[in-house]
Amino acid sequence: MEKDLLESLLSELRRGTLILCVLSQLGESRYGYALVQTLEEKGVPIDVNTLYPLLRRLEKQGLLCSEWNTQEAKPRKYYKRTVYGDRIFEELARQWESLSAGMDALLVSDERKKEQIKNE
Amino acid sequence: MSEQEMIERYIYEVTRRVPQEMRAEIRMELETLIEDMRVGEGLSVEAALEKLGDPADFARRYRGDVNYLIGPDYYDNYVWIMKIVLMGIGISAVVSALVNAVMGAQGYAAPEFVGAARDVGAWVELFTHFFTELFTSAISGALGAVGLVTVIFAILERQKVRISVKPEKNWNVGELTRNAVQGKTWTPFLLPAIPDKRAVIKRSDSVASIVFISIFTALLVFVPELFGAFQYEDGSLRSVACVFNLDKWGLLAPILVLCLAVGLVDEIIRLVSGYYCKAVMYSTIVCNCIQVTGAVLLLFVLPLWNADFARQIQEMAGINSFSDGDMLFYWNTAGLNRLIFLLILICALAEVGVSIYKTFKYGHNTDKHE
Repeated sequence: MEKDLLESLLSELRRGTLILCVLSQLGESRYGYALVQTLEEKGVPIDVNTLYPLLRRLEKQGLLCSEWNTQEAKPRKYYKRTVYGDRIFEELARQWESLSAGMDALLVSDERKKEQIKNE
Repeated sequence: MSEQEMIERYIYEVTRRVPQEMRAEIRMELETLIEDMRVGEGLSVEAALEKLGDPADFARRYRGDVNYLIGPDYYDNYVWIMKIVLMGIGISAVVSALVNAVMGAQGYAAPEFVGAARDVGAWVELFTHFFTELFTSAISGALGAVGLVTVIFAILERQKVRISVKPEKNWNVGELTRNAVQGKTWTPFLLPAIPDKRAVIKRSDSVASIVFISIFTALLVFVPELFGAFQYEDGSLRSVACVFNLDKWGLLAPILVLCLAVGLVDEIIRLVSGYYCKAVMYSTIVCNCIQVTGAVLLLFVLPLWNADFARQIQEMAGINSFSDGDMLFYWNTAGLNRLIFLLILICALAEVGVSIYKTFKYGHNTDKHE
């Protein structure tokens, strides 16, 4: 039970940050699977069956543009941020910074309180 | 099954569930992806497909479907209308059970009402019958109502998704420039204008209609014989004549219920909107078209009325014939049907007219933000 709850809370927490993760890596064009690997290497794993539909959605919303590269052996669809996507990404990143600073402050102050209680 | 076949099957299971125009691209995308996973991670085909997960789930994500029946936008109204409709069903279940019990429709003798105290056994039977009737009609009525209201709202939910997706671009552009000028995401200036008083649809009117439609529908379905004449005979009330053609009831009832159901949809849309706007106008037009068509079917094509009603009344009352001054003299004549149809048509035209007039005259004010 506790494990299920933790799982669902965690996935909810991750879901909100997904778009920012994806946008952050698409300043230069990448194809889907390369993006999966990059994110995994950086410690933010994402399911393939979440990412591929998400890329399409972001393209539909005008944040990304795509291009099929058929030069190589296998055809691949490359995605890249649009100008509009750049603008949105910068704003999201700015918001994220202040949010995470705020979160840090919240969590740190909580830690300190605990230590204080321990010491007393 | 070869590896290639497994891949083919997986891709087929995904692509058959997505819209036609996405299929070719998703197929290419998945072929490359699976190949990349094998090379990149050294996975077997089986392991790669397992990692991709259930193709139905994958396809659902590609479609971007909502995975709920009624979302938060409609939930409050859904619960509220459900309560109203269920209340209506409850009332009509009580009425129909009473009628059935008192009439002794199931062929048992209802208790003597004179000197009733002595007839304890009959009273017990009456109450048993009443409660059995009550529970069966309440449960079946409630199930039907829950189903119907849920379907209506599920459709509204999905339609709204589609409607709001389409005009989003036009709407967003205006909103963006306004935001750019004011530099805020939301200001009180963005509040929509309060609808013109003359465009407001009274909630009480809609509620009354919904309750009436629910009760009337349930009575038509459960006790159509209620609409007719009764005779007190051998200590029980007996239905002697019904105004409706009960022989063809299996054919008539669905049409009647359909007409009432579209009326219910229209009232719910009015209630949710709260004022005359395009959605209400279109719904009123469609609803009235269906109802007028239904009326044509019922009055001119099908035999809605019980042709023998007048004769049955005559027999009951012991009258030989009606004079032309009596209402029943005109029973089931083409003239009467035409008159009824004319009334229905006038009501429909009036309702559509009022909707169109109020929508264009007052309703548009609410779309402005100034």
